[in-house]
Amino acid sequence: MVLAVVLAVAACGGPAAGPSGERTLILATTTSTQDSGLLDELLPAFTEATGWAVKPVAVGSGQAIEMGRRGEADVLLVHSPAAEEEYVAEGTAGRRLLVMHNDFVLLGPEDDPAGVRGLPVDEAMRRIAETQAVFVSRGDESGTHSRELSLWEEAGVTPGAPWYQETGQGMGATLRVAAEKGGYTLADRGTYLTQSAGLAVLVEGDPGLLNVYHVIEVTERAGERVQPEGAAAFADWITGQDAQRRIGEFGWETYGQPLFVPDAGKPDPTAG
Amino acid sequence: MTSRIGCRELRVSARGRELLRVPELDVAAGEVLAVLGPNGAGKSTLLRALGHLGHLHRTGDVLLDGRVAGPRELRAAIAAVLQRPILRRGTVAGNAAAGLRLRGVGRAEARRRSAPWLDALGIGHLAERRASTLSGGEAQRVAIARALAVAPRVLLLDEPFAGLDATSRADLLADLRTVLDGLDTATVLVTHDRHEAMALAGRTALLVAGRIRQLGPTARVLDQPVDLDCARLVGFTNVLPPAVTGRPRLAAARPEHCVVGGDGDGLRIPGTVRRVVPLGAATRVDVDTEAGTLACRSVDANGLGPGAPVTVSVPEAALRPIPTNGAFVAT
Amino acid sequence: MDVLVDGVAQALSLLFSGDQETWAITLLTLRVSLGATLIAALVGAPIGMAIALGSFPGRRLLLAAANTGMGLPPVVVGLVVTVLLWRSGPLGSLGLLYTPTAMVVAQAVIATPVVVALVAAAVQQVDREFLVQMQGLGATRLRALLALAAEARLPLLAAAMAAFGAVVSEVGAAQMVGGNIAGQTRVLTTAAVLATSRGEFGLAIAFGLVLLLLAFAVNVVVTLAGQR
Repeated sequence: MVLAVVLAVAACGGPAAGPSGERTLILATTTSTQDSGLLDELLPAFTEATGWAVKPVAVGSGQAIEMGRRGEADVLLVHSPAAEEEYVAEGTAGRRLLVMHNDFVLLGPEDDPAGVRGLPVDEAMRRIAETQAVFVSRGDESGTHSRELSLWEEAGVTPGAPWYQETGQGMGATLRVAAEKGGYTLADRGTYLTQSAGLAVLVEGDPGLLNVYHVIEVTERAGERVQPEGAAAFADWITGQDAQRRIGEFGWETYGQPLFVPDAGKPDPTAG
Repeated sequence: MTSRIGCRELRVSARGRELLRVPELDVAAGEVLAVLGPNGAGKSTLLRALGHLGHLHRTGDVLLDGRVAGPRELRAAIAAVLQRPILRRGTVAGNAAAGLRLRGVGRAEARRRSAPWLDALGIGHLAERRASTLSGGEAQRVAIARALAVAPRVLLLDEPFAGLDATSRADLLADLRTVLDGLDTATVLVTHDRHEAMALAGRTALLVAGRIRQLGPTARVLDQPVDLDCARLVGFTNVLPPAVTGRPRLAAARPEHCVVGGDGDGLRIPGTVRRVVPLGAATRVDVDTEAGTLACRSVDANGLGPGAPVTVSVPEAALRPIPTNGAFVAT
Repeated sequence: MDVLVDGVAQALSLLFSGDQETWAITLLTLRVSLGATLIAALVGAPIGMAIALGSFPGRRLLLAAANTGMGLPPVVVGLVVTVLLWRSGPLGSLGLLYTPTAMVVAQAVIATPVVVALVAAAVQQVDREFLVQMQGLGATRLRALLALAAEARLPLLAAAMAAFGAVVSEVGAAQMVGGNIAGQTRVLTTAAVLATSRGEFGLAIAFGLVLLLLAFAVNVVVTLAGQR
């Protein structure tokens, strides 16, 4: 029945067809990137500069990379290095370029029951596990979640019930849950600045907390409908001067500090 | 007779069973034919088969003015009134016009043409009433007005008086008689009541178990049944075998002519009272006799109780001989 | 509590200041959901009528299926439609994923069982002999069916409004097949979810209120037309 409906609708052009005659590419990115508002700033400029319209689909990093694997997107903008490297190793991806970074922060209640303020992050995670303080995780295979899991691993801790709770939701929702339960959580600074939910920053600046964004081109090897031209156009533009400047300026007005640090062309800050 | 509507070798079956079989039947323009039969005889089936209504598995031909007619022709020529008056939302006037509207006539003209029929059926004063507020009798009149408004060449009435109280029925009978007189329409009236046939129909057909057993002028059909089923159908319910009557053939009589305790010539049958049922003006007495239990009338019920020995007398003129071969007789 | 008040205030200001984005989102919501309801009506009404009037084998199973289909989670429908429409799917060549057309399709799938089940119920309410009597007055099959529809028009309208209500308020399918892309496939429900995830609660409630107003307006128009 779906087939019949689709053909009927497609045949009469549908009530609202997409922009016709314009080239459109699909950008798979993460919810935190969308939530920060950066894309609302960048994408119109990109379209003006290159003539490519963009459909930004915001999902978790895991899902975005999966879309890349299947050729359902043309280009990815994600921040989950381990999963990214795995994907690139599979051989179907094009270039992987560094775009920008921000950092993660370990948040918790102002009164800090586990006493982790100022500690190195692995020490802090161990303390939380020992005191069995409530820790709220996104649990959704996102970039933030992957980073959190690798931090637990480095701390040598296996988190579990009842103090470790997974929401399966985006950053904003997870922050609210953490605040309601008076618990700890890991968040990217960008989301924290827009929705602090009453939590305080307890650990920051640790090298293990760097959050690095890459743009990855999808090639026709992943699927025959992929548009490598569009992918290249986006990858080139976002690592280009204009985009990098805009990234660096984003957030000053609203928060008095930049949300992201542009990194194109520099060595990967997490390496070494 | 020039036939307005007729059928040849009309057969209707359902689930492998034959419901109706009519080799030949004709109704003339301006005539009213009553189809009388017990429940389940196939009367409604015959009506629907003639009008090509409903989903019937039908073979045979229906003729209009002597020529075989297809479904479209039939539908254009026919108007039907079903047992339950099925009215639509809206006013009485709107409903009366509905038949014409369904045939593509414009609203104003349909109103104009149907209004006189509301008057003819005595409900002109109800024209602006909502159809849902009508009584059974009123609703049926609307249904009839609606059918007549399309000026049909054939009118099919399926027990139109069913469910009406005695007064409404009597009134509608009279009004319908008046309306049908002088119309060019061939009418087929299905009923299980012989008094309605008497009041409205020139000819009557007796339908039993899907076959027409007798067909002829109404007075004769109702008075001279040709077989036992027909006899019972038209009211000769006391069956008197030769052993009891001493006559060569089976005979039947109406209960109102079998009198308990009467005298006079004719048949005299001894029996015992089974029960006495006072019914207002008359008293019914069921008497066990050699011929089975007879329903009789009593002149004077005093002193009659169950078990009392009585004699039932049946005047000669009240007896009807029944031919036992049950052949179809068209008279 | 102040969040709710703030939401009402924002809703009013967005609507009456003629905020471009809000109006665009509202218009798209209307087009997508009305379009889906229309398709569902065209596809589902004949099926519902056939179930009510016909006597074919499997009729009751079909009705049971329609009744069950009313409980289809929109998100599941969205998933199935996505799998069909994405690039590697059987209908990928149409390039319909993340377009309003795909949203109309998904919502039409959600609405059709609602229409089928409620139309069947509406038609079954009319007297069994209605069609025969219409035929008996000389109506063609088509005219008789139209008369039947006119007779049952109130419950039929209710069926259409129920279908519209089901799709205008759903978010799972719209999010998945539409992608909630600003200016292209963002509707009131997906916009509300996005605002919520960004912590903009007042705005989310505002979108919710606009949605209610929209649904109310549509229902008023349809009800008035039907009561004529």
